[in-house]
Amino acid sequence: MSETMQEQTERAFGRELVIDRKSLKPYTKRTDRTALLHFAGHIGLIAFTGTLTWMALGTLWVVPAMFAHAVVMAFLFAPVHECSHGTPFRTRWLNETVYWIVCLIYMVPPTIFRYEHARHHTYTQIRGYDPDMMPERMTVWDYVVYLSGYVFWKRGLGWFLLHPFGYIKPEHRRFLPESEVPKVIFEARVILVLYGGIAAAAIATGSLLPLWLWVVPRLVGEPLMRFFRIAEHAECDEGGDLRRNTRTTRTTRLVHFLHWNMSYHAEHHICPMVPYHALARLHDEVGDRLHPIGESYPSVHADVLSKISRHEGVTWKSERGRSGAVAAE
Amino acid sequence: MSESGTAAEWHDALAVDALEEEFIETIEVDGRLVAVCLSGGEIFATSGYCSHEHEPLTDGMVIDGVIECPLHQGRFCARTGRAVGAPATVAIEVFETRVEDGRVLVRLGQKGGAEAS
Repeated sequence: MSETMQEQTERAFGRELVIDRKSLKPYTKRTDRTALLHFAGHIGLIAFTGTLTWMALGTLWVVPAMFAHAVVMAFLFAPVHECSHGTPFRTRWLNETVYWIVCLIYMVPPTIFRYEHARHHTYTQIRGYDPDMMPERMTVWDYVVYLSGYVFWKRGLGWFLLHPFGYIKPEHRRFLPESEVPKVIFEARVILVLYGGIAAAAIATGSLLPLWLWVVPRLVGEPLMRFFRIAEHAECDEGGDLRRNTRTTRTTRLVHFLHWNMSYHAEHHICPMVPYHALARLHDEVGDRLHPIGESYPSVHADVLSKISRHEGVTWKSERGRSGAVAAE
Repeated sequence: MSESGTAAEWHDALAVDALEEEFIETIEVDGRLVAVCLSGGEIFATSGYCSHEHEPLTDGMVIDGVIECPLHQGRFCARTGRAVGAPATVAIEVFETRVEDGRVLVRLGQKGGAEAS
């Protein structure tokens, strides 16, 4: 089968098996107010932890302050993700403005990320097509490398340093329409100039502000975001059945706030058109039809590490069954 | 059914009452999936599939005259079919509509769209 034919036939599926159209409608309603307040709260928190970090520089208090700042900045991935879908806001220009702001702070180029993430949704957990999929035989070393943020930064540096010069890797061209290539290159050039300008201004003025309040916290915080993101699909079914290949993980109200409800990840994959603020309600309606559910992030990691250490890989092949998960249902 | 009138290609699609602001109804008309929606009191009809990855527009939204695909939220102008938001880059077909006796009629002859935009 040619790749094109295979891509047309093997796709993630399951929405219509979980919720009917009529029941889905109330969850898809859009509003600007909720996401605006949420965004203001998140940015306010970043400003607060940033101020604390700045005040603590030169003292030992900088350690907890920097950690807190890195954590709230790491969770900016959540609005990056939500806005890439275009669902948190009703008004499109608001969505795109916030998307650009959080992408620039988080350090991901908006357009290529949007296309890559779209690909992840089309081919969720379909090996060879899902760009976010874990290695088939993950070792403890692979796990540590992933958790370190290395994979994230390697991909990002490629995007930031190669795209301005017109080079886009073949694996990224698979999901990027040819007509969007000039936009991606132009966007990468704009971002490079912007980041270069910030670096030049910092050097010229002798200011360490961008380094301590932005670059270092991003480096420190990325492993935390990887910690949360591993739980989304690791140890779930391989194959496109969205009822089985994505995990929702129970967590605290604080994490739900910082993570913009991304912990309801199975509900998000089943119904990507549902705005983040409706996912908790959607979970109440369909959560019992989606498996597995993680009892907590640490327990999910304990399970993943246990499987890795026994060299069992981190995904279940559909034909192999899901004895462990089924037993837990 | 085919409707009488000035052109034989007018087809009965669905009842006007079945339409709800912001939501899309997809229906098979003469063997083709057609999306019909109501936005700002106006009725629009387009191809029932997104041009990005051929996802049915069933469960999609229409907000301020812009249709949104339910899978990746690619966006199209409901009036012209023009792609107005990534990941959609290619227009979708749009069809003429009219209302008769509480029913929405769709003429499948292409009104516009389907060109790269």
